[in-house]
Amino acid sequence: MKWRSGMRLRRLAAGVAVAAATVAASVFAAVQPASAANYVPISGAGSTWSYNAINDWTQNVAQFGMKVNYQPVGSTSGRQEFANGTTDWGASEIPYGIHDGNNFDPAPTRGYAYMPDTAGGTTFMYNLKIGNTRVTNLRLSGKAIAGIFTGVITRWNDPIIAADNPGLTLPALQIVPVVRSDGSGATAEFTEWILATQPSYWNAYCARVGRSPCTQTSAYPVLSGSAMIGQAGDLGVSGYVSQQQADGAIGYVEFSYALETGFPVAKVLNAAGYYTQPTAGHVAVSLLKAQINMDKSSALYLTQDLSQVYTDRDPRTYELSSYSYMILPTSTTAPMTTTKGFTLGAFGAYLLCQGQVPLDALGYSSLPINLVEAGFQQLQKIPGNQVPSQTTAQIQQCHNPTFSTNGTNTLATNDPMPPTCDKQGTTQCTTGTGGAKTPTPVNPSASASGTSSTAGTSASPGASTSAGAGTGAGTGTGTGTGSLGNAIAQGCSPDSGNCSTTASGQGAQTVNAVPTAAPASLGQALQYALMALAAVLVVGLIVAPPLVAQASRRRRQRGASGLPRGPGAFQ
Amino acid sequence: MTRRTNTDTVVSRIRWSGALAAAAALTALVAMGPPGEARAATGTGYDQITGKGTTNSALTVNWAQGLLDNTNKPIAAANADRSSATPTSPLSFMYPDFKNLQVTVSQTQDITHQGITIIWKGGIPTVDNSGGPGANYLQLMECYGDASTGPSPQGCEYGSAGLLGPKASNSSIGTREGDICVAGAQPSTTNPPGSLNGDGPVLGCDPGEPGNANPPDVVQGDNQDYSIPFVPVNDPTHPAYGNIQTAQYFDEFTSNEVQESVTSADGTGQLQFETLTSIEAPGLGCGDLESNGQTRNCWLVIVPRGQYEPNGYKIDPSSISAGGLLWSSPLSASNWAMRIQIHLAYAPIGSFCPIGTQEIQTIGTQIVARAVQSWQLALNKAAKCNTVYGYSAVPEATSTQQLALPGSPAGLAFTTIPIGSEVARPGGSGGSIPLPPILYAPVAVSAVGFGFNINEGTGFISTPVKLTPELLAKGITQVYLTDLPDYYPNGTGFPGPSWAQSNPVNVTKDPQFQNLNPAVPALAPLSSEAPLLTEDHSALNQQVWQWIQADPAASAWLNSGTNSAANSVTADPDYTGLKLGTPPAIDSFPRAYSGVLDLGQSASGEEETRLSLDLLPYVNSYDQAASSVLTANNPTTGAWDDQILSPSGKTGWWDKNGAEPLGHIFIWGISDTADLAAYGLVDAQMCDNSGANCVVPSVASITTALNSAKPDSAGLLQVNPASPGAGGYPLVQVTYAAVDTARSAADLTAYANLIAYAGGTGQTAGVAPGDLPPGYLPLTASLKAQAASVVATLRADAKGSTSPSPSPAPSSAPTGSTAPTTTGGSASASSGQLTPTVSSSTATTGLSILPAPAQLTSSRTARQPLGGIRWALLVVVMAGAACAAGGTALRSASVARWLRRLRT
Repeated sequence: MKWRSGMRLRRLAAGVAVAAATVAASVFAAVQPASAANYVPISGAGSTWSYNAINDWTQNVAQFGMKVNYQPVGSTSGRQEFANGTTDWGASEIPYGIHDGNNFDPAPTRGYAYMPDTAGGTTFMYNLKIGNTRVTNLRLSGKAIAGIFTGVITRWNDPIIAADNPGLTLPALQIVPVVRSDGSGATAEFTEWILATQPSYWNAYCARVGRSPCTQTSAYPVLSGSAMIGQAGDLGVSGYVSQQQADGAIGYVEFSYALETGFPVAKVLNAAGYYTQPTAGHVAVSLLKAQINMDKSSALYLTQDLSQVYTDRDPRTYELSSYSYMILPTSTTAPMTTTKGFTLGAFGAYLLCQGQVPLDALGYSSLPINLVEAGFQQLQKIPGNQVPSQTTAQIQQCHNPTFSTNGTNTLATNDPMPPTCDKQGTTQCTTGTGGAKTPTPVNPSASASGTSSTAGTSASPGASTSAGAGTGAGTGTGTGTGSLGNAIAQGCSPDSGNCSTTASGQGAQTVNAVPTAAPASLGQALQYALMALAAVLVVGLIVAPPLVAQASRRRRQRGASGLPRGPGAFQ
Repeated sequence: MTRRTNTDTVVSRIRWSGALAAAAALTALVAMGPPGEARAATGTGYDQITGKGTTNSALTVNWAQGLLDNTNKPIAAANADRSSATPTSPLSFMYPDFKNLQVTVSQTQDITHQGITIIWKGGIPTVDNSGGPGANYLQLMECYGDASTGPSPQGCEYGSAGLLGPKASNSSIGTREGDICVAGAQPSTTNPPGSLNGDGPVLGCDPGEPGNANPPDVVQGDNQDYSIPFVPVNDPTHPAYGNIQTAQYFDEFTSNEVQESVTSADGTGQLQFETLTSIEAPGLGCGDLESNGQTRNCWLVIVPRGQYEPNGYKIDPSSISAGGLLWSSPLSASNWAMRIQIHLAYAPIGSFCPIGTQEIQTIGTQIVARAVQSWQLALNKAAKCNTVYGYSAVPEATSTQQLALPGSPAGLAFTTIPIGSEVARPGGSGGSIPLPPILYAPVAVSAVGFGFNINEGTGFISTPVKLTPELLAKGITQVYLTDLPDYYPNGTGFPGPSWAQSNPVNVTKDPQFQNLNPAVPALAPLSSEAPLLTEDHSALNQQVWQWIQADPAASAWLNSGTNSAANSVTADPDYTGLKLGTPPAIDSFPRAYSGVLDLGQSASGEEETRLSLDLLPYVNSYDQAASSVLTANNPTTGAWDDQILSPSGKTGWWDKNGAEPLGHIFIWGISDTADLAAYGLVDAQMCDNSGANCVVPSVASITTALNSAKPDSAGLLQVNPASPGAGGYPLVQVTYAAVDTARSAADLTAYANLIAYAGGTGQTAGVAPGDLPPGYLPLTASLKAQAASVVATLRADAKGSTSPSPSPAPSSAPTGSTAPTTTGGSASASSGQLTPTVSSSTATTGLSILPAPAQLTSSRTARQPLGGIRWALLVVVMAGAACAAGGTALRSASVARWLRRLRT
C-alpha cells in the first residue's frame, strides 16, 4: 500500500526548498499511485441498534485522516434528519415508506440508496432471579415473547414460560416488559416478527391499545395500566433492565448492549425446535434466508424480507436476526458535495470490508459477500465517490471475515450446531448467555446429563470463530511447543465443554462437572489440581461405562432386572 | 518558520533513497532544524494532564493594538484610530466598550487539532437577558487568510445553526446575515437608522453593508439583507451563502465557532478554543500545503460585542423584547472592524495511510483511546502502511473473551485490571474463562475525573469545582429534587416523594456545595443538575465508589440515609437499600430511584409518564459525556409539551432540553483526564469530607498517586483511592497492553512494535500525531523498562524462540534508547528509525518520579512449566481408550466365550 501522494507532496515540501520537493516528486511519481482528493468531515445520524458498530468505524477511520460524525438519535429521527437535509447520511433498520398504522414515513426528495452496514440480533435482555440466583439460561418461545409484550403473560411463572424452561422454577414475579419509547427500527423489526409469527397476539393487542390499522410499528404502543415501560434508545432499555431493582424486567436491544451491561439474553425458540441466542455465527446462518430485494429499479433495492428467517428450520437459526442499513445520498442536494461523496464512498468501502472484522467482538455479525458486493454497487451511486467498481480483485482484498474461497459464508459454515440440551423438550442447558457467563443450575429432571453437548456456541458470541476442541487438544499434545495446560486453557472451556466435542460427547459432561476454571493468575497449584481432577473424571467416564455396562449385563443375564438402573448417560 | 514534527522528519528520510535522496534529505534536515526540539505545547505554565496553561508561544494582546499581522506584530495603520485619543471613525462610539480588553492566547505556534486556552480581562461584564446574554460578550472563530494583514470575514468558519440552543431568542448573532440600513444611513447613537426592509433600528442594521466584497455580501436578487458568503479555501469558486450552503463545509457538529462567550462581573473570562486543521475543517485548510510550498497558517478572530449595534442602537438591558439583545452578525463590516486578530502558525498536517489495509486488531478500555489514536498515526508511518492497527473500545468482559479465544481477531487488549478479573466483581458477570499466557506491558497513565461547565449569568466558572465524597455520593444517587422524575413543579400536585421534601432542588443549593464553592451561584435550575454517567460496568467506575467508600461519613450516609448536622440531605431509600457504602464497591452507576411521574393521558392519548432514566439517561462513553458537557448539551428530558409530535405521530411529548442557553449552564459528568483535556473542561477537585486537602488532576498529583501504587496479583499497578499519597489524585489508572502470547509470530511482532512505540517514543508529551496527548502522564523509567522487557519477550517468542520463562525487567536502559529491531520477514519499519533523539528526560520535564515500589518483572500470568503431569492426561486418555475398546469387546459374543473359557 502506498502513501497518498497528495499528502506526500505536502509533507515533503513543508519547510523544504521547492526545488527539492520537485525533485522528490518526480522521483516518487513512478512508484506512487495517483492521489485522491482529501477527505472532508461527514455527518450522519440514526439507529442506536447499530451505534456500537458505527462508533467503532468512525473511531478507527480517524487514523486515515477521515472525520466521520454520528449521532445515535434512533432510526426514525435518523431518517427524518436525512430527509430534511441536516445530515449527509443516515442509519436505519428499516427503509422509508413502511406503512406504520396511519403514519406514513415519506421518502426524502433528495436522492438516496440503501446499503447494509451490519447484521445482528435483536435480543431479549432480562433481569430475573430465582431466590438470590440470577437466571442466565432463560428460554422463550415466540408465543411467550408475544404474550409478554402484549400484556397477555404477566407473571414469570406463567405456564407458557414454564413449558419453555423445564429446568427452571420461575417465581410468581410480575413481568416488566421494556419497550422503546422513541421511534425505533428495532421496534419495527420486532413488531414485524410478532405480526408474522404470532398474528393473533398482535392483532388482539392492537385492538386493546387502539391501533388501527394493525401493522408493525416503529413506535411501540404502551398498554395503559400495564407494567410495560418505555425507554429511549437501546441505551435506555438496557439501562433500565440492568438496574438492580428491575427484577422481572425484559427488554429488546441489540446483543452488544447485553454484552456492555453483563446481562443475559433469552434464547429464542426457532422453527427447528431449538432455543438459540444471536451469536455472530447464528445470525449469519439465519440471514442466509433473508430475502434481499435485488430489483435495482426498486426504491427498496437491497432491503430485507425476513419472513423466511422466521421459519427457517436450521437448528442454529436465531429468528430475530436482521441487517441494519446506511442511507446514502445519491445527489448533491445540500448538504452533500462531491468531496463529501468521495469521503463517504471510502468510509462505506471500509466498513463493508475491514470494518466487519471487529463486529463479532462488539456483538454484531459480519455482512456476507453478496451484500458486500451489492453494497459496493450502492456506494458507486454517491456523487463524487471513487469506489472502484466491484471486481474479484477488490473482493479478495476485502478482509471481510465471512468471505471464503468457495463463495459460502465462512461464519455460517463454521457455525456449530446448538447443544442438544437447547432442544425443545425436557432438558435445559445451564450455560450463561449474552454478557452473563455464570451457569444457572437446572432442576434435576431437566439436567442435560447424558446429552452430548456442543455448548461452546452459547458461551460467547465469538465462539463460532473458535478453533474448537480439536485444535486445542492438537496443539497441546501434538506440537509440544506449549505446555499441555496452555493447550487446555486455550482450546477447552471447562464450563462450555467445548474441548471435548470432537473427542467424546460424554467427555463434555465430565468437564462440565468442574463449575469454574481457575483464573490465570491463580497459579500452578490449582492448575495441577484441575488437571488431576480432570484426569480422574476422564478415567471415570471412559472406564466406567463399559464396566457399568458389563455389570448390568451380568445382572440382566442373572434375570435380576430387565432395565438399566443408572441414568441414561451410561447406556 | 514552521517546524515539522519529528515523525514527519523521519518518514521523509525513510522514503528517500540513493544519493539524490540523501542530499535532499540533508537539505530537509537543515531547513527544519535539529530533530527533537521542544514541542510548542510545553512551557512553565502548561500542564500535560489538563492540557491547559501558557506555552512558550503564548501571546497577550490589547484591543487597542488588536489587529496583528502574520508575525503577530500590531499593524500600526490599522490600529491607529482605535488607539487614538481622538478617534475619527464613525464607529468610534463602540470603542469605549472594548478599550481595556486584553486577551491572552496560550499558544500560537505549532498548532494542531487541539485546545488552546483563551483568557481575557478588562471587558465589560455581560448583560444577561431572557433568552441569552443581551450585550457585552466575545465571539470567536477560526479563519484562513494568506495576506499578511489578516483574514476576511469570507474566510471564517462561522454561522452554524443550532449552536445557541433551541431556547435562544437572539439566534441571528449566530448567522452570517443581517439587515442592510436605509440608503445613505450613518450610524448614530441618538438617531439610529432603520433598515431597508422596514425593520426598526433595534435589529441593528449595518451601514457598512453591503461593501464591495468579491464575491458580494448579498445574495443575488436580495438587496435588503446582507449575507456574508463563506468562500471555502478548497473550492473558492463556490461561495456558500446562508447556513444551508455553509453546512456543506461546516455545521453545528463540526464547527469550532464560539457564538457567545461571557465576561464575568470582574471583567474577566476564559475558554478553551478548539483549533481545527484541514482534516476537521477542509474549508479553512489550516496546516495544509499552500501553492508556495508553505504550510497554510490561520487566524484566531475575536469579535468583541459591546452595548451598541452598528447603526448606533444601544441595548436596553431592562428590555426583554428585541431591544434588550444584540442581533447583528459579527461578520458584518462594522462589527468585524472591532475584531482582534491573532495569527496561528500551524504544524503541517501529518500524512495518513490509505484506507483499506488489513488491520491488526486491538481492543480494550476506553480510557486509552486518545493515546492509541495518536500512536496509530506514528505506527502506521513507521510501518510504511504495511501494518495498520485497529482499535475498538470494548467492555472488560469482551477483552477477556477475545483473548481467551485463540481465533479471535484481537490478541491485544488494553486494560487497567488483570484480564478476566472483572468477572469476580460485584455486578460482574460471574463465571470464568480459561486464558492463554498473557504478558502485560504498561503503556499509559491517566485518571478518571469529573468535568464541569458552569455559566450561570455571572460568567464562566474556570476554577476547579470542589467535591467531597459525600457531595459526589449525593450527586450520583438521586437525592436532589430535580433528580427525581416525579418532582414536577411545572404541574400541580407532583411535589416528589415525601422523604425528599426538605432536600435541596439541586446540588448548587446544597449547603455543603455552597460552602466549598462560593463562586458558583445557587440558581433555580431549568433542569436536573445531576452528572452525566455511563451505563457500562468497569473497574474505572468501581474506583469512584471506592473513593467514596473510603470516607466513613459518606459510607454511613449511603447505607443509612440519615442526615446529619453537616449533611442535611436525606438519602434516597431506593439507594440506601443497595448498601453502596459497604465494600466491595460496585462497578456501575445505578439509577435506582423507582418513583414514576404519571400525568395520565394526554388529549391525544399518549401516556404522560416519566421514569428515572427518562429524566437522567446514560451516555455511551466518557468521551460522549465530556463532549456533552462542553456543548452544554443536556440529554435530560424537560417538561411535557402539548405541541410537539410524539414518536407515534400524535401531538404531545416530552421536550428535550438540548443545549442549555448561555447564562443558564450547569452541567457536569464523569470522564477521564484525556477527554477532559481534549474538551478543555473545568476539573473537579477531589477533597476530603471536611472540604480540605483538595486535589485536582495534574502532573504533580497524578505522579504522587502513581508513586503510591501497589502491584496487584498479576503485577499490575493499582492506585488505592483511599490512600493515593499526600496530595495524590485518587482516581489514577495505569493502562496495560495485555498480549495473548499464543498468537502467531506475525501478530506478536506487530503487537511488540505497537508496545515498543507506545512505551517509548509514544510517551513524548505533545499534541502532534504520535505524541502522548494531554491527559496522560508520561511513563516512568521503570514502567518504560517493563514495557521494553515485554517487547523483547514478544519479539523473542515471535522469532520462534521458546523462551518459556518470563524475562526479568532489565535494569538497564529504558525503551527510548533501546533501538528495537524487526525480524526479517516483517513488513514493519524498525521502530528505532522512528525514535527521535528526544531523551526521556525531555519528555517528562518537571517530573521526578521514583521507581515503582515493587520492581516489577514483566508479568506473565501463566506459562508455568508443567513437568511430568503434562503426560498425565495423555496416559489417562490412552488408558481410557483401551478400556473403551475393552468394553466393546466384552460385549462381543466371541470374546465373552473366550473369557468364560479362561474362567473355567
